[in-house]
Amino acid sequence: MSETIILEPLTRLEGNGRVKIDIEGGFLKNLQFSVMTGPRFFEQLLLNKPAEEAPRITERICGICYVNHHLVSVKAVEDAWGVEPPEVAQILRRTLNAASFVTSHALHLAFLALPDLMDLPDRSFIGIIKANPALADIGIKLHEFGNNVVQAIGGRVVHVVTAVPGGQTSGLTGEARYRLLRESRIAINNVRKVADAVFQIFENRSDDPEEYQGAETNYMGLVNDGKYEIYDGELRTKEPNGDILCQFKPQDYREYIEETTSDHSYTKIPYMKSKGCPGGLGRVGPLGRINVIDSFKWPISQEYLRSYEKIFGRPSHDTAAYNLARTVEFVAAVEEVVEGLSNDMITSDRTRVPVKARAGVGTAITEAPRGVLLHNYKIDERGLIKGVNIIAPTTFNHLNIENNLKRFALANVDSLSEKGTRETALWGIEKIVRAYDPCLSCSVHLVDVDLTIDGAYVPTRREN
Amino acid sequence: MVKLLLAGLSGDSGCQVAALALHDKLLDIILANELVYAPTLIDAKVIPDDVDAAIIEGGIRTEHEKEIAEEIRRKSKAVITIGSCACFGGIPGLANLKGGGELLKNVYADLEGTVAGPIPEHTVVTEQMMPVSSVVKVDFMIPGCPPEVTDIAYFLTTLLKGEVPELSKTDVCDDCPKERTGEYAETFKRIHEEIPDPDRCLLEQGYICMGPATRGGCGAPCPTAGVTCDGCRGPTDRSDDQGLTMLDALMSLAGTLKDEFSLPQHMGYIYRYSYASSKLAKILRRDGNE
Repeated sequence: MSETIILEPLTRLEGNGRVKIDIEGGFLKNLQFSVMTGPRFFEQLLLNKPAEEAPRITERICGICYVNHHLVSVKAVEDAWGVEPPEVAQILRRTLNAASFVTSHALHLAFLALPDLMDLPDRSFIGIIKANPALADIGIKLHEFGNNVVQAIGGRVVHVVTAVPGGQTSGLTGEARYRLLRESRIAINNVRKVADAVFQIFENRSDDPEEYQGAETNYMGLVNDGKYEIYDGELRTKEPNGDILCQFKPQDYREYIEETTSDHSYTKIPYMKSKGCPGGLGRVGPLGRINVIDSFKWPISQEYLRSYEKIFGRPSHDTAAYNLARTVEFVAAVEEVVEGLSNDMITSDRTRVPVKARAGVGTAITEAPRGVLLHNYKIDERGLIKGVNIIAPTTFNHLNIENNLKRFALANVDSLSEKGTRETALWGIEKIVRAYDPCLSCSVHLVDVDLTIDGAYVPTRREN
Repeated sequence: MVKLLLAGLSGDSGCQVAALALHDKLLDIILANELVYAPTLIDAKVIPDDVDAAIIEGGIRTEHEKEIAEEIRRKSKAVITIGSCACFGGIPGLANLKGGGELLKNVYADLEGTVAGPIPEHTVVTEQMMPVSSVVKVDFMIPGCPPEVTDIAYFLTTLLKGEVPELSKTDVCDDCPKERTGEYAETFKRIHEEIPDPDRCLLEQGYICMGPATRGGCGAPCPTAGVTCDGCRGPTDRSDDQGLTMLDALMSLAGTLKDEFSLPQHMGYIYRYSYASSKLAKILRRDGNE
């Protein structure tokens, strides 16, 4: 007897996704994880556009990682034009980037993931509000704090506008800085409370290493002098055993990363060139970053990292660790915002220098909350974009998520086959997807649909 | 108690994220009503048959999304589009400048760094990015990329009281604090080339600021932050074609301008969010089909 189970829409995550499970005679025949959000052809619509507009256009790839797209985009244009923005612009951008992590991690942890971790009867943010109103309130306050910093530096709450090649179009007033500094003191206390609550859940968690499954993959993340870094650094990749596979500058990415395509999803599949696919697949995001770094540069997050190591160790291959790694990062993000706001230079009004467009190729990497984000532009002498490559975090994770789900489905094929236990097993599937905090619309800007077989152009159905 | 639906089609979820920035206010709205379907926030997998107000974010780029929009319309009393993708096609609509076939060929031509693999065949991509209103009847729209948080609060509270909200009748220049002197620059300027006078109108200084052609009510946050309005709220009530309105506004510069205006290069300014629903797109599409 064969049966196909379709799980759609996947819920409590960004974008539209589907999991399709084929079971035949009690055996798992196939499982596909597909991104269903329609492709938006960003690489195509950017062609011939003025490069300085790219930060405002590309951030529309993602309504959650917009700050990171905005910043990596301006960095890529500056790389192509050989431009170094003033130091205050760097401080503003770093602080903006960290603030976006505060908001994003607050949303995911407090409202999307906690209902699973606390195993609430009502698995939604409404359930959290009912079960633990104080914790819900703190979650909302942290989300709001991140938003306030983003708005003050970025000019808007969602889809920020201030990064232009050569710097930032506006700085931070002394008044805004002190207001945010005051809020940040409360935020530090609050983030510790959330972190303690999540750590307590993991410390008391019944030891079930099979719950989320995992995979022995490579891991990727930015580092700066070996330390945790989310704005600007070198990309470090570690082997499953924890050895460093390579560490390179964003500009050299083509020597290390290659991409291929999938028949059932609008994402590309990037992997480490030296190891091929699937051996070169790497996981990114909180688990990837925590697995590759030596340490944090801030004291409180470093302290939580020590507690994390006692639970999962490093590197950990357990997908459950994503949620706790995200918790450690949540603390680090608040600490980085405080560090930026505490720098007296942040209110300087020399936030930008005029620059000239020129022909060149530019590449930049920042970390988005969901992982490594790369923009690469080819620009002509008029400053118009002639070529674009964007690798978003969920493209790195996509096939890893699917493999992770396959392992889970194999282990739980009996529960999936029986109608009575199916619902719980499907919840297990969604918990795994959610642990990665995937950004499906981010991953889907790529457009290699209906394109090639063995290198030959294949006309689409709509063309005939 | 109103039964609310919140769904995303081809878009980036930024409008839903903007709604979250209402924080306690959003919670009050949700708790006072009933959220029956919202994949981003709750686990309901099936669209119920008796939705009162459906809020749709994102445009339509696949047959699958078309079917979802039709299902929502069938099951809902009122359909509200939020954000410029759902209302006008948004930035992804800029890809409509090229026909589907050409678009795909261009992508194919630049596979540098990509090893060609299999072809995705899990859904069918539509020929054009479409606003929701080109597939189903839309009762209200909340434009913006994303709409300002205050817009979302006003629309939701007004609609949920059973009243009809009104879109702002102003343009962004009406909201903008910058001073206009009547003196115009002789050339177009690009934002990285110079540091503009922070107190003066950006358009007069030569920057292509979309304020005159764009619906106001946002408070002009972008010019206030030192950058041009890029037109994210779409056309005003006075004209349904944002790009043509802007061309008209640029004519006032024409007396002094020494630069050429080139559509392929400037399209991304004047039609950044509304090309898919513009008159120009309709004309080009009609000509292309003949």
